[in-house]
Amino acid sequence: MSTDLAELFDRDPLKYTDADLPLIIARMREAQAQFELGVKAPIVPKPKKAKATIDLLKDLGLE
Amino acid sequence: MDGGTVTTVPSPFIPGTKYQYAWDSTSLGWLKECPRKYYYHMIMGYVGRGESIHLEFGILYHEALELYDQLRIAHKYDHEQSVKMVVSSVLQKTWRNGAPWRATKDLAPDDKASLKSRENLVRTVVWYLDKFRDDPAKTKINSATGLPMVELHFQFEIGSGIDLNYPYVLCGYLDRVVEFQGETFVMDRKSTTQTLSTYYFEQYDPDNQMSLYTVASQIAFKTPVKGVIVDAAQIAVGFSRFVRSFVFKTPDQIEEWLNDLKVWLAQARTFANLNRWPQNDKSCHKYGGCPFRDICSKSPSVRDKFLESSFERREWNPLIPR
Repeated sequence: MSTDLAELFDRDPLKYTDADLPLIIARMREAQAQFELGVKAPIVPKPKKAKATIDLLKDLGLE
Repeated sequence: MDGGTVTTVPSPFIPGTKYQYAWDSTSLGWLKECPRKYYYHMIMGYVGRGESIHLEFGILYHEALELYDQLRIAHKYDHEQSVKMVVSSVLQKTWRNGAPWRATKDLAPDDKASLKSRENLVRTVVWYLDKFRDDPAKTKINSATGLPMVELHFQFEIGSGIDLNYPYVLCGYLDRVVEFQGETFVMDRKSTTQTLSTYYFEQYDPDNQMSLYTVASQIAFKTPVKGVIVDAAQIAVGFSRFVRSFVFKTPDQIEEWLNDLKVWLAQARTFANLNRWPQNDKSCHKYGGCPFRDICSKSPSVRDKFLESSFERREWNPLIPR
């Protein structure tokens, strides 16, 4: 997800400007067009452990 | 609460008993899969934490597409206006207590349920609406009300019940009734993380829900249908995909299903009489694995403790309107 989209998803939708909603829809459509063209989504390396597990291990002083 | 009056929804059980008289496809499905699963879900009200996520995502997805249908057909908004209003509605419904509901960044990426995120919900809704902008399956208009046949609640009696005051009732919702290539179908929307293969669609034929919806369309809405179109959305990493499949039902198949139903309801009554819902231990690993598999594999003496710690309670009442 692009930075501008991530930032919009982190904001209260009731405080969006007039341009925000069309931007979200436009970004979704760009992703759809890319998918239909066969462009794969960027591969994000998977962490080995879930965040909750990492937090727990840290809390227990095991990592 | 509405206008100062308190509306109470009746229980699907005869008061003071474990005899269920109001049935939907979900509770009937649990009974058919495994009486013990039915007992844990329906009578005790236990829901696995992962299950409630899929349910909630499904409800939000359904509500979004229903809103689009209403805006397009009843309010005559164009596609772009409708998409904008639907996305706005989804984002507002998923903004809770000052924070986003199921934001991708907060979810464990190695958990398949993490695909059911807020961002993926919005993506799936936008992609679906654009793909089916000129949907060849046209929503039927109810000739009596003039309203589009979407999110139709049904509730009708079938034969005699356990008690004269409580006849058996079948109830539920039809997502949409459509006309496709000159034939009428119920359209049922699904959202899944599974791949939309032949294997995926085979689970719906034969299937309890598809049979019930065909019956409901005929009895409750006087609209004979050829069967059900399963309108499935796959939510995957980086994309959403949509495939439709047909489940046809002939009148004699429906008659057979209704006759079998009487036997199932009699079985449910027997289990309640005995106060015992036996395990169907050949069903534990089917349907992606029963959520109670770990519970049933434990000694009966410790099951309650594990149930309380691993499950939440959420009553499933087929009589509660969506």
